[in-house]
Amino acid sequence: MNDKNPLHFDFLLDSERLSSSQLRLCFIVPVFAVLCLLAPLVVWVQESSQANGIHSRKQLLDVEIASLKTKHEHVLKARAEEKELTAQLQQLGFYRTSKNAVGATLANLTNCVSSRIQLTELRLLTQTSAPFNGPQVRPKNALELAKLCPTNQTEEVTLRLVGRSVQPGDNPNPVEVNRFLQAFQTPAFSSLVSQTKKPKVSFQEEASSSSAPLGEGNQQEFVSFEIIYECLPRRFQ
Amino acid sequence: MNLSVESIKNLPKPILVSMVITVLAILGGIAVIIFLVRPQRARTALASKEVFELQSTLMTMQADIKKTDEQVEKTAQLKVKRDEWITTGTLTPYLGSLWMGAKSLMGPVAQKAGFKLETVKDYPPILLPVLPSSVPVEIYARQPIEFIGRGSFDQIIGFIQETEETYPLTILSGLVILSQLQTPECHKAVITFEWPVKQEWLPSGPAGQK
Repeated sequence: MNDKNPLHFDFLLDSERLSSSQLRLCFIVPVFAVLCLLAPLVVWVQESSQANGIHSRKQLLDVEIASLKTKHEHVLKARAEEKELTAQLQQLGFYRTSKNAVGATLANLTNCVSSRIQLTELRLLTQTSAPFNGPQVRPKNALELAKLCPTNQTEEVTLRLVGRSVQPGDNPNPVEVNRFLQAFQTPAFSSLVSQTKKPKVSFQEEASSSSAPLGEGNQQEFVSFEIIYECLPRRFQ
Repeated sequence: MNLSVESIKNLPKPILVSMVITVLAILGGIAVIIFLVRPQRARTALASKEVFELQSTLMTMQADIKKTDEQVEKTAQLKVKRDEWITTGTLTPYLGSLWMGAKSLMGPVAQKAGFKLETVKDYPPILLPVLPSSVPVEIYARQPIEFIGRGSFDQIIGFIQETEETYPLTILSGLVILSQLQTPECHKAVITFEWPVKQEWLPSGPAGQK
């Protein structure tokens, strides 16, 4: 063995000499492999316990939500009702804003119609949109019906005045009618007729009559007139 | 390196055992990951998501419930306003017809103004506009009712003024005054008023009843 050191004794058997390296492999590799098995198992156990915790938390939340459900439904019902009422009021509001109160304005007509003018016809007409023709087109429910409702609407209004006026024989201009037209430019009629748009006026001479109810003299001519005003539109906004 | 069944069989028994344990343990580990850990993790993630959603639902519910009184009061106020508009402004059918309702409503007004009512007639209703963002379940329409009668200019205008003052939601949509040769002071008037009506009150039959 070793000749320089005669005191060295080798007590290892041959089998022991061979097993030192083999023992390490035989032990460490399986241990490492078992650890590889145990590690996922530990993770799984951890995940399971976490899942159990989440599950119980979920159950608690379910119970809590169920206990609040009645109260919450009450609020939701009130909220839905508010939405419905707001929509209804909005719809009625559109209608209300379309109102142009004309009664008081039309009452002013008596002040500007002189005794030498006679109105024979007055027409205040609104060009309404298409009517809802009842059962022929009536939808099954409100939502379908709502699709038929217009989203924005403006309706034109016109005022047509027809009448006759006394015209002095020597004056070709219809003075009384012009005065009548000027009266419509005053603020008294600003809530009815459009001040920016000129009216359409047409005249037609009538056959002269000496016994006309409007004039005092016998030498008078009559002129019939037609005035069409564009009024303030009805806006459903 | 030459690896064969024979050479494995010739290995010492401890080595063979350790090899079997190693292989089995690795396969077991892989199986645990595939069949236990991954599904469990997916279930946990799903449950966590559900819990998160439930928590947010609960928080929303609690916040909503806190506002119950405020919400109920707000709704009640709107309801009062809507009911006020309905009772004072809308036209309700009388004996099943809207023109009858209008006639019963306007008869006293016409009488007060001295306007002599002769005929009342209803026209097809017109739906009121709605915003696409807020469509009510209860739709309203406007119902034109035509009143034909006779009176002086002052009486006719008085009737209109009185109506506009008494019924704020009644709107004049048409007026025709025609002078009569036989009665210079008494004119024929065709007056059309509109009222808001509930869609459910709209007539099922054809309009134009007199």
